[in-house]
Amino acid sequence: MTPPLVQVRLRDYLAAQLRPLAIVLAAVVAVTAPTAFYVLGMRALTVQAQVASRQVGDVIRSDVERRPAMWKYDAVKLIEHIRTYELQESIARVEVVDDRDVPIDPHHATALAELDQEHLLWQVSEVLVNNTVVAHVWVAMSTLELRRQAWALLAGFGGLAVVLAGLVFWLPMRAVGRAQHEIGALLARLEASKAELAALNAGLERLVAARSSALTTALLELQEKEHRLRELSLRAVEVQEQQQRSIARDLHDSAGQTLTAIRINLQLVGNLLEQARPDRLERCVELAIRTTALVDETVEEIRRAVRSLGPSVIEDVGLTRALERLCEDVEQQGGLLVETQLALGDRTLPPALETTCYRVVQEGLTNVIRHARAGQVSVKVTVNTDVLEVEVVDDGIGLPAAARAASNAGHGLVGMRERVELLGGRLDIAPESDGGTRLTAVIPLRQT
Amino acid sequence: MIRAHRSTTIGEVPIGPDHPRSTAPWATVAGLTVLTVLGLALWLLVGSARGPQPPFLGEAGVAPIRRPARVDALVLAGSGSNLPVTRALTAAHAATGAAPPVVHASVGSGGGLRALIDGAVDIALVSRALSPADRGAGMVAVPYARAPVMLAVHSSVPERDLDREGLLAIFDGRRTAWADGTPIVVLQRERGDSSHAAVARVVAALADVDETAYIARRWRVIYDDVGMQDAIASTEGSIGLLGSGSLPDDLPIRTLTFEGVAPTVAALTDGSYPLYKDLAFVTLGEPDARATELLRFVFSAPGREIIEAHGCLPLGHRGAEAEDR
Repeated sequence: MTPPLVQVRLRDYLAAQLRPLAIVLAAVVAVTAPTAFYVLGMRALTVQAQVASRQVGDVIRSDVERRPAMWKYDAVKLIEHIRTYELQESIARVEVVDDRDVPIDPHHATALAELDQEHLLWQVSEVLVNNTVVAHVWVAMSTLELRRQAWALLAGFGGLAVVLAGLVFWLPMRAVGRAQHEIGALLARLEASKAELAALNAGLERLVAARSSALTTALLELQEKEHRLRELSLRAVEVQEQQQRSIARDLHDSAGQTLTAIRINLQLVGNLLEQARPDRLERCVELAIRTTALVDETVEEIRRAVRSLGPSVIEDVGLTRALERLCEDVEQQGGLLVETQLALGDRTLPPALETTCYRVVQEGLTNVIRHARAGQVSVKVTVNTDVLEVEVVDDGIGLPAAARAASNAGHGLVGMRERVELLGGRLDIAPESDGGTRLTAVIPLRQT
Repeated sequence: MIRAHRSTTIGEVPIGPDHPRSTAPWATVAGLTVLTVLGLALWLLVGSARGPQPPFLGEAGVAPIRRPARVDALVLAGSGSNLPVTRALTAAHAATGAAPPVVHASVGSGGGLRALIDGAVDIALVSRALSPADRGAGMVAVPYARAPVMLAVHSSVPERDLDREGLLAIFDGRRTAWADGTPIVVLQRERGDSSHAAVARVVAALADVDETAYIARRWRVIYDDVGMQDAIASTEGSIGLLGSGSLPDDLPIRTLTFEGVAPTVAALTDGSYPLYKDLAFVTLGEPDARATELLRFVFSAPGREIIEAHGCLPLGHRGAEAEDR
């Protein structure tokens, strides 16, 4: 798919922003200086007119004081003189009116008609004699030249404003135009790169999907194999247990019974021989007694073998009672105080799980007796909803760190860990904070 | 999956066609700013152009000036050229038992006529001819003396005579020193002065020379005969025109001959001295009784003697009428 082209519109955006700014700048530059010039010029003309009117008023006052009756008729020449020689060229007209505002100059109308009234700025001052207004002096300043200069200034500053506004608008636009061109090229390249990247991405996604599918299949296969292996292992354990229990039962039922019968017979032989010749019989009795002892030892050995092959006691009395007996045996034989907390409930556990539980407790107590030099050991077995928990805690010296490591543990611990893990459980050995060792096994009830 | 967008941004700057930032607020602000600037400028321009407006703008004609408080005597005022001989005449007339008139100081011929119109005076003293407008206003001129317009100089001036060309050379500034090297100081009368007008009647080019000097502000301008006398007397190398007919004896002033003719009554009588002006009494309408009584004395023999004594040629009514024409 061809990616759509990206249009870069920096110039349009900047033009929209700069255009009002340029207009404002042009207006301010064009208007401000000519306006200020005109206003200040008008102020200056006003002040000049006021000063001139006061100066003429002083002259008129002197004339009035000297000739109070006839000053009006002589003042025409005086005013003409002042107009001609005493005032600035920018003063367009000087008129003196009497106290009734009647002009002194009889030709004032003609002279004023020649003036452009639109361009005159008038100012007036009073002529006071003895606190009485006897005349007013009006002075007109021509604003024509000022206006002409202001217009010229406006034209000049208008041109300058156009130039400045043009520069303010054009320079950034030119720079942005170049930048826009370069950005456009970059964006085009970016679009091309995006297309290439999209193609690569699509291929990569397909490859990842294929690999993921293969891995999923492999994982499922592996899980299936693991499940089958776990089942096989469980089956092997069960078969092993069954075989061991069968052997133990056979030994107990056949060899044990036989040896017991032999022993009884030997006792009977010994008793009979005691009643015969004492010198010979004494030897036979001694032999029988020794044989009996050998049989007892053999019977004991068989019992131990039977116990080692399989705790048939579980089948006989159940797991709870088997564990209680085990603890009682350890307490009697090892000189330990064994505290038991068994909460197995009424739930029927798989034989392999019961055997493993029994073996874990058995091996844990054996290790306590052999290594811990403990005075007390606590055995706790709990069946919860999903798991069976076994906990053996002693107050001994604790296991060496090396011994806790699975790789360096003894064959008993290794065997226990393997049994637990075959059932999907976990076995941990950790030191207690106040000394001693805690052995914990957690085995799921549902075998997978 | 990487997507291609139709619009995107770089930083805050939209570069796509659908950029979210609008320029409308900024344009509105800019427009308001421009309007504010223009409005402020207009307000300043209009405000700065305001000023008081004179009450006389647009008036047609000349309103009468308030008449000064009148005295119960004949009042005369006008040209300074008329004053010496007129005051001598009124004084002599009063000596005959008539009521002494009031003769004001110089207000010029125009000022005298204006005062006459306003009723401020009874007789205007005029040293120039009446204009048709003056006559149209009902003014009546009564010439009584012809006064020579004298080329007056400071007594230090070595020259004794000037001709027309010499006069023009001095007044237009081409000649700047007297024969002894003394700088020439030209003292000019104001525009419309009757003495300059009388000389310009003979030396026509003087009118333009005067106007050029006025515009260029070349010479000092004096506004009455008394002032001219004082200015000449106090300025070495000075020259000016005097139209009063006689010079005071106590001032360092003397006159030059014009083209060899001295400004005497005899020269005026025979017409050899061409620079002169006629002095006249002007009344509004026919003279009243007091004015008639004064005129009767002026035209009497004692009056004519007094006129001649002041260097002027006595005139009769007939002569005045001819001059007016």
